[in-house]
Amino acid sequence: MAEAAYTAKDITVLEGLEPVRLRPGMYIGSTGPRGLHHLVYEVVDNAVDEALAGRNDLVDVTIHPDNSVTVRDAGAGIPVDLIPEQGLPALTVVLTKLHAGGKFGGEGYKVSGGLHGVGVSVVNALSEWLAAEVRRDGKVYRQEFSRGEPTTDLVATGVAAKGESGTTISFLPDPEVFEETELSATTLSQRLRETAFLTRGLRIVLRDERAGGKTDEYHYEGGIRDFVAHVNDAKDTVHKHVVYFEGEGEDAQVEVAMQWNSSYVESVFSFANNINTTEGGAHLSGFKSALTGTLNRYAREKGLVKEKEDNLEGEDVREGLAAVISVKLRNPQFEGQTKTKLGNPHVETLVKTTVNQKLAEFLEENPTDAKQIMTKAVSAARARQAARKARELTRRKSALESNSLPGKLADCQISDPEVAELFLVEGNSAGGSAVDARDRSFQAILPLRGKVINAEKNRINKVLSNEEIQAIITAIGTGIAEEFDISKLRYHRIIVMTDADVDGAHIRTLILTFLYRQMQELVEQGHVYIAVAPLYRVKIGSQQRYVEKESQLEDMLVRERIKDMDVTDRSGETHTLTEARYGRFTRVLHEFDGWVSRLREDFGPAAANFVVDHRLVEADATDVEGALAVRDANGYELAIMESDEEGTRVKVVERETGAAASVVVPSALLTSPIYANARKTYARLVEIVGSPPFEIAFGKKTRHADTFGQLRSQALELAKEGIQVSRFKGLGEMDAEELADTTMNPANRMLIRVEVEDAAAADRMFSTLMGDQVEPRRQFIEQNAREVRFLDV
Amino acid sequence: MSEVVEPLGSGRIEPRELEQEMRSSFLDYAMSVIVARALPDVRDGLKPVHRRVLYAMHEAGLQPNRPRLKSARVVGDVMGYYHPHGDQSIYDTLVRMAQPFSLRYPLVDGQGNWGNIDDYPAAAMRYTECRLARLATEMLRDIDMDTVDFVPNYDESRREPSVLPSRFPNLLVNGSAGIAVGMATNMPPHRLGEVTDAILALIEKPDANVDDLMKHVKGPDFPTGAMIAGRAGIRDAYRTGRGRIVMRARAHVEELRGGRNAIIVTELPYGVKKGGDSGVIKKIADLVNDKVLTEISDVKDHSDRSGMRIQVDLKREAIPQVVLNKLFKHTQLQTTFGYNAVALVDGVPRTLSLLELVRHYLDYQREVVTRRSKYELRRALDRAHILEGYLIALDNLDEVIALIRAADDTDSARAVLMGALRALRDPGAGDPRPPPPRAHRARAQASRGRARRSPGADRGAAVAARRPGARRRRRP
Repeated sequence: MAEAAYTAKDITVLEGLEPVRLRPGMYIGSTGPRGLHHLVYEVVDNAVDEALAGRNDLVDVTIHPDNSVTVRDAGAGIPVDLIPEQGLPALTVVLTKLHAGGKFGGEGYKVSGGLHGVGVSVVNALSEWLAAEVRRDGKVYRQEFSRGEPTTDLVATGVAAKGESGTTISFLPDPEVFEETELSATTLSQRLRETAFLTRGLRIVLRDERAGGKTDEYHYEGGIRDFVAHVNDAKDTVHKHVVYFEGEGEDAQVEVAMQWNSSYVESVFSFANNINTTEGGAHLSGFKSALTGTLNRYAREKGLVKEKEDNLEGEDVREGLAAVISVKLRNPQFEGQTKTKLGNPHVETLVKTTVNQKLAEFLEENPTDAKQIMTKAVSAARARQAARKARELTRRKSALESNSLPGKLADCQISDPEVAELFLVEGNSAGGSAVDARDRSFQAILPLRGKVINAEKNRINKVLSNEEIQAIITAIGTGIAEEFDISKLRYHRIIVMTDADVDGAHIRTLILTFLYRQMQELVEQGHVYIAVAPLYRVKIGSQQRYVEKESQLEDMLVRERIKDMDVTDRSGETHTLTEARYGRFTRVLHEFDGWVSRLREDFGPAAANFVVDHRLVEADATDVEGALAVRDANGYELAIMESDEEGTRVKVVERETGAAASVVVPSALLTSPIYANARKTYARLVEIVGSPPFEIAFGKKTRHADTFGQLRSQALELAKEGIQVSRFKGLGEMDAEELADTTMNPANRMLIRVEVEDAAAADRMFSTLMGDQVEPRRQFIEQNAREVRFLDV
Repeated sequence: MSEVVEPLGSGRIEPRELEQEMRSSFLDYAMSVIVARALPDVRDGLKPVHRRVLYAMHEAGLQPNRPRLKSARVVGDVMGYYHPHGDQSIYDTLVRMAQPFSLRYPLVDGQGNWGNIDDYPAAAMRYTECRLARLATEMLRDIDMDTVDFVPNYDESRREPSVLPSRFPNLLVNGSAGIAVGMATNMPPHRLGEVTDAILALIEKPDANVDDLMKHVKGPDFPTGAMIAGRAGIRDAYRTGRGRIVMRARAHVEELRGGRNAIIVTELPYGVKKGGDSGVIKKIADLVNDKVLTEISDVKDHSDRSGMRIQVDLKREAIPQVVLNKLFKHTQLQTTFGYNAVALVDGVPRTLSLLELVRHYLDYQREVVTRRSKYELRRALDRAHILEGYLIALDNLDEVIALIRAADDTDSARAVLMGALRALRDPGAGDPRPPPPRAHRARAQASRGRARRSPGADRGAAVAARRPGARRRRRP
């Protein structure tokens, strides 16, 4: 190598919060949705720490319509006095210096481990703006920041009520750092609920002020006991009383809650200092061995397991068990690949001793529950033995016939699992294309006929006797359940490739259910992927491109076509829909739609649509008469029929045809803050593109739009004219070359890797969606109907 | 093959949380099944597949007075144009719509073997023929008059109706049944006359309640007849949208030769099969063999062209009423209809009482009639405008001909005419309104003299000729 010019000059030291902005992933995990939500968790954790230290009983989280967040607690309030070494108030230091905080030393157990406890200064660094307000010592203090830099000094802004204290942090995640800044209330609520379970007595409130949002409160005096009841909510329980006990040792405390249900699924969750230890660790091992030991002792003692019979195994005893083990300790050591495995060997002993002692007590004191639990465990043991025999028989049979892989599997040449990939493909029509499209050196194809059997609703022997399941198991090679051996994995990438339609989505969920329930480690280790087939093929002139998401299509149309469109508004003013303008337009339109949806929800669709369609939103008036007087005519004649304090009835006559209708506008609508916000956003829209109605011109073609919404849809329609946009409904629609180029070739394709960060949430999701109880599923659908991605026929 | 210009994902790997993936994939599937597969729309009572079958048949011109068409062709149209799913399930849907024992008022008129109540399947689609039933045309009447919104089909090559005008109350009259995800629907058929009376009652008295409507709609009316035991289930169903309606077969006792009795069943509850492995005859036979029904000596199926007749021969000492009660208890001769009125209102599934069902239908029909009237009005106005133009032209024929001759081409002729004729118009006789926006197109059509317009043009000339003082001229 030539002389490298690599001297001290090339070394940079990053100051203050610069490293966070340069490598956000290192501090917050990712710049995708996970990292975004982690910002909220980081701030909430501080409030939880106050609760763990006994100084706080409330965490109030609000998501505002612009996706900023406010977290308020009733703790002691971050100190505001000066830190001599830094020359700055403590509040400023905490928010602008990395690793500053009250976590290092001091009493109490703090939430600190892995990605937790990096400090709220990280949140500050990654926020477009952040405002911190502290109520303490009878005063209110406030300081504001932008991207980690203070924009104001710390000032006292007012007086706090006597005895009132606490911290309020408001921030807006920086869109320059995060791809998506829209928070999901559902994701947050699950995590906050979990935190409420783990911090007994703490009240956590989540308010979603955006359209369609609601307010939820999580407050569990029963702590993890309520957690277990919640996990078992969608299931039938085997015994009545939730087992609960605590134990304490040097430097550590443990709490355990357990209850068995009638499913075949094991839902055991472990936490250390409120952190979800998904890889388990000392506490979980202690729990498991003590549980098996205690139940075996009890069984033998009471004669439920005869002398010459085998012991109950771990899996038998944990079948249908919903349990939460929560330990709190000073200086936890987190190990493992994702730093979610607890080290600290002394904890294992503590948990083991506690469980041995207290569980035995419970069984003695509650003989009915004990009997029910034991019956379940014993029947699980028997079923497992029967299933094992059935599996052995099938294995022996295939050994006699041929020790080969399923006939349908089109295997690859290379046998090195690290390179090889297995595609699970829907149906034979797609299977054929996939075989033609693949690179046979390292890509194997296994077509699955019809809908895969639901592994959650059916008992294991029925699932195992299904041909497609057997084919999957044999192809993957690791075996299932207790025989699962990841070292026998034949392909390090299992890629699920189903059609892009809704039945494809359903089959994907069925495959994931089977893989997660029978080969959990496979999923946890990140070996399961989802192939992303293109949604659209777009032909512009002679060029052909593929698009995966609806939003990408719109971006493409903007870049290619819409940027040359001119929009003339009602007053004759013309604007060109440049990329920048169109981008602003769609963002503000989205906000506007949000406010209008809220209006529809609160006051009914008729009234809400009326004030928008007939342009009352343009008038700066809070009563109907005033609005009507100022509004611009639009082909309809409006007249007030009657009016009282509740509302006003307006007659609407379409001039051209004379058709008449009437609408009641509640007085509350026009004076509501939602309406005010809707008007403000409407005004912003007018600033960007003018007032409706519009004429859109693109070359010689024109289109008419009566509303902003129509402006967008007509612009898109106009953009699509003359170019071929075809939507893919199934993989069989693509020819092999297309499939290869877009979905299977590693150089071009996009894959989604399935990760399990929250096993408790995944477990709940599987039993709600795929389990045998209908009512929880129906409720889930009702509550989540809004979040649907796309509707397909 | 054209080049792929941009590599799509460039080998990117994006992480996604398992729980999130399950949630969104399952929701996509569940929502689609609920909103666009298994549940009927409250306005026309149809699921998407039914709507597409009827619309495709309408588009193919399969009116009741035209010859029937091979079913395979209908299925092919539906599958290719509107419904990208399996052919057998589309045919099964078509078959059901033609069976008088499935639909109270069948919508398809079929020729050939369309299955029977003994669960014999219909002949293959290459054998049977079909066309729309007379009543089905009411479902589609006025569809060409802008009464319903059209949406693009699955590949955006055609348009299909989002709902049919449904000029008779199909949902209440024919019922519906479907299993979605997390919910299901089960609605029985009713008598058309009773439902119409209820609708009229609601028109007369907009604040009527369920009990008022129940004076007209006494209960379900199954195409297979039989009886309903007790009104409590019906009342619950109509008031709340859910109820258990007990159905019983129609049976009487006959005396046979030799002094023995027989129970004769002439009508079975809706949905109960007579013959075959899952039929009621087999069930009775099984119970006799298992010694549960000891008083029965034989079961015969004497059904023929004149109707159903199941003959259950009883032994000598048997008391017919007791045996009948046992049959009701142990076989499908008594079955419960689990009434569950779930339908899509504005795309959202809701459980609906009888009042809500009737009201939604009535509101919808108001909308259909209003839209139709607006359409007719607009068409009439367009027509009036054209006639006006003719009148002006004919009144000033010489000037018009001179202007046209003097022009260089059609476009400039049109432009000049438009300017000149407006000035020539007689303000007293003309329409005081400013010209409607479609005038440009109407004028263009008039000047091009399309074939469709010629009858009208002749009339215009005749009208002009009849006016006193108008000079008769040969039309250019």
